[in-house]
Order: sequence, then C-alpha cells, then structure tokens
Amino acid sequence: MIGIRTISWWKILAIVLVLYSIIGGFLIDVPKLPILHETIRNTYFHVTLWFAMMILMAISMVYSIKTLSNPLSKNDEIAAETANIGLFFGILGLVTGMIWAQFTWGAFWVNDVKTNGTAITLLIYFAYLVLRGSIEDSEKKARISAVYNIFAFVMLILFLGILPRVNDSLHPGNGGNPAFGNYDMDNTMRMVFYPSIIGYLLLGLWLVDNRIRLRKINEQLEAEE
Amino acid sequence: MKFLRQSLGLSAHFLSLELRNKNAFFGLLIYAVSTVFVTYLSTQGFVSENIYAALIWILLLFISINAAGKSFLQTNDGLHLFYFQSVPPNVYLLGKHLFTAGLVLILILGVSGLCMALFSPHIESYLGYFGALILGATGFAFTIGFLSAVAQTAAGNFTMVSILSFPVLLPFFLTQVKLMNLSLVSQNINLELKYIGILFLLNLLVLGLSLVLFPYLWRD
Repeated sequence: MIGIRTISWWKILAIVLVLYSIIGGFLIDVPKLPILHETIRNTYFHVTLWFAMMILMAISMVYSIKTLSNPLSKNDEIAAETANIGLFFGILGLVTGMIWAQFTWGAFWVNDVKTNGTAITLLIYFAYLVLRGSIEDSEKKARISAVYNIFAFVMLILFLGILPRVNDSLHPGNGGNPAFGNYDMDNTMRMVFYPSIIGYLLLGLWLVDNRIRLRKINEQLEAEE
Repeated sequence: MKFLRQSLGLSAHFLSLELRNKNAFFGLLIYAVSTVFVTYLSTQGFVSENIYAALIWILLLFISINAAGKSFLQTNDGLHLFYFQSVPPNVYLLGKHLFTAGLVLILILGVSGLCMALFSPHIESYLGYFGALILGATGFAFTIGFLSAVAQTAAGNFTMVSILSFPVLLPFFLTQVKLMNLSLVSQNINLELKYIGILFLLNLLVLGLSLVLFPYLWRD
C-alpha cells in the first residue's frame, strides 16, 4: 500500500491518459479521408510523440539557460535528461512516421521536408550527447553543453521554420494535402488527441524524473566505494 | 564605436599573425583547388544547373569547415591567457569573426571563380549568385567560428568541429543552394530578395547568439 500512496497524482494521470489514447486511438471512429483512411489513427501516436519531444527539447533549452545563469548540477541534470528522453521520443516518432509513410506514400523514407527535418533534429541532439561525452569535468561539461544546446535549439527552430518555405512537402497539412490538424480533425479526434499529448508529455517527465534519480543513486554508490 | 574599433584592430592583428605564417593559408588554397579539380575530373565538367548548385555548396562547406574550424583551435594556452587579460570577450569574438569572415569570403569567391571557369555555368541573375556566395561565406564563418570555440573548450580537436557544425549549418546550406539554383535558372528578383533577406537575418541571428553566449565559453 505504501507504494501506491507515495506515487504522485500526475504519474497516475500519465498512465490513464496514455492507456486512454491507445484504447481510444484504436477503437473510436475516425473521419474517412481520401489517401489517409485508417492510417489517420497515427495522429494519436506519431504527432503526439513529436509534440511531447518538442516540449521536452524546449524544457531542455530553458534549463540550459538556467545552468548558465545559475550553475547548479540540478539544472544541468534536467537539461541533459530532458534532451535524452526527447531524443528517445524523437526516435519513436520517426519509426511510427516511417511505418505510416510506407502505407500512404509507399516508401519508408521519402525526400521530404518533414523527414529531413527529423533527421536534422536527431543529428543535432546526437551531437549534443557526443559533446557531453567528450568533457570530463562536470562544471565545464554543464557550461559548454548548455551553450551548444541554446545555440542549436534556436537554429533548429529556424530550420523547421525555413525549410517548408524553401521546399514543398508531401506531409499532411502542407501543399494542399489532407491535414491532421485544422479542419480535417473532427471533435471526436480532438477528444483523443489533446489528452494524448498531455499523457505522453507526463510520461516523458516521469522518465526524466527516474533517470535523474538513477543518476543520484549511481553518484551515491560511487561515493561509497 | 570603441567596441567596433577595438574589434577591427584585433582582426588586423589576427591578419598579421596569419601573414607571418603563410603556409597555413597556402595549404588551404591547395586543398580548395585540388578538391574542385577532382570534382571537375570526376564529372567531366558536364553538370546540370541543380547539380552545379549542390556540388559547389558541398565543396564550399568542406573548404569553409577547414578554414574557419581552425580559428579557435590554433590559440595555445599562454596566448589565450594573454587575450583574456587584454580584451573583453565580445571584442575578441568579433575580431575573430571579422577575420574568419574575410578569410572564408576570399576562399569562397576564389573557389567559385574557379568553378565558374571550369564548369562554365549559365548564370541568369548575378544578384542571386553573388548574394548567396557572400552571405553564405559570412554565415558559414560565424557559425563554424563560434562552434570551433565550443569544440576548443570541450575537446580541442578538429573532429568535434565538424560533428557540432554540420547539423547546425543546414539552414544556411539549404537556403544558399536554393538561391543559387534560382539564380541559375531564372531572373525572379522578388523571390531572390526574399532568400537574401532570410540569409541576412540568419547571419544577424548567429552573430547575436554567438556574442551573447561567448562570454560563458571564455572563462577557463
């Protein structure tokens, strides 16, 4: 019973919302659109994972700014772990997107604005992790990786903003294709879509929380040795 | 004004340091010329417009990384301490930026001149063509220069510069390729001005961001 009493309300909410999005996502009726058909259900997973990822990356940038103004190891840990979990969500979002693309576009990878944007996002954060890995001293690591994180995040947002203007896209919502957002999504879809975003975001924060605890335990074990 | 004058003075100082050791510059020049020539030999000089735009920017990307990536790596610890005590960080960064931008601009204009001679592309609009080259050179120089400062404080090796800068350079890269492609096939001044505007804003943004963030790298 102690285990249940100490679990916070938002973790329970995360489980409920993610379960709701999976069950509701597969069972509730969706609008019948040309080309998309039943694959529109991917909105509940692919798009929400990406939303959650972008929010996690934004949190990571905010904590990088905090690290620069106030170099506590706590701020740096949050910045690093949100980037880690964001990267994990990004890979999941990429895989779900690729499976979807195979059934609607006919190939796992097409030369498209959105797929390329994804690849760049992942590359930037892999570079961030490589940078973190290359520095031994923890204070220096916090400072330098925070600088790169801020710089790269701003460039990434710009990149995602510029790219659609430079190239046309096949992705729903661009170039006259049926969109997942805006007018094509009816109210029953919204009822699953928005809770699903919150659910995956909370799940991500939970994972971040666990990773930070794991770090603390490891530090303690190392100190004891 | 004092800020700008100090930065200009510092970049002149970097220039005199570079001129004292001409080997590095001529090494870069030979590297640039030989990569262009290898590309020419392997394509036989026959490339379509969009391939030309892509090829020249891939060449310029690698050449700029080699030129600008070393801008912070060369400074050794003693010299670094000297600069640290003599000038504020932003003056130092702007001085480096001005020097690197000049170096990359010279290299890029030279390489593109060589490419124009070898591949003889049909240029419809010189505004777009040279706009892409000049703003591209400054953008590459600022971004790679700043990230080489990051790499220098982190690991101090050259591989890190390319790992950090490739993904971040892509907004520049794609806009430049698009603009150059446009200038080779049509004379659409309005669209070209739009891309030039995007490049200009990107330049300003990178410059501003690096000036804000550099003091945090500077401390050790």
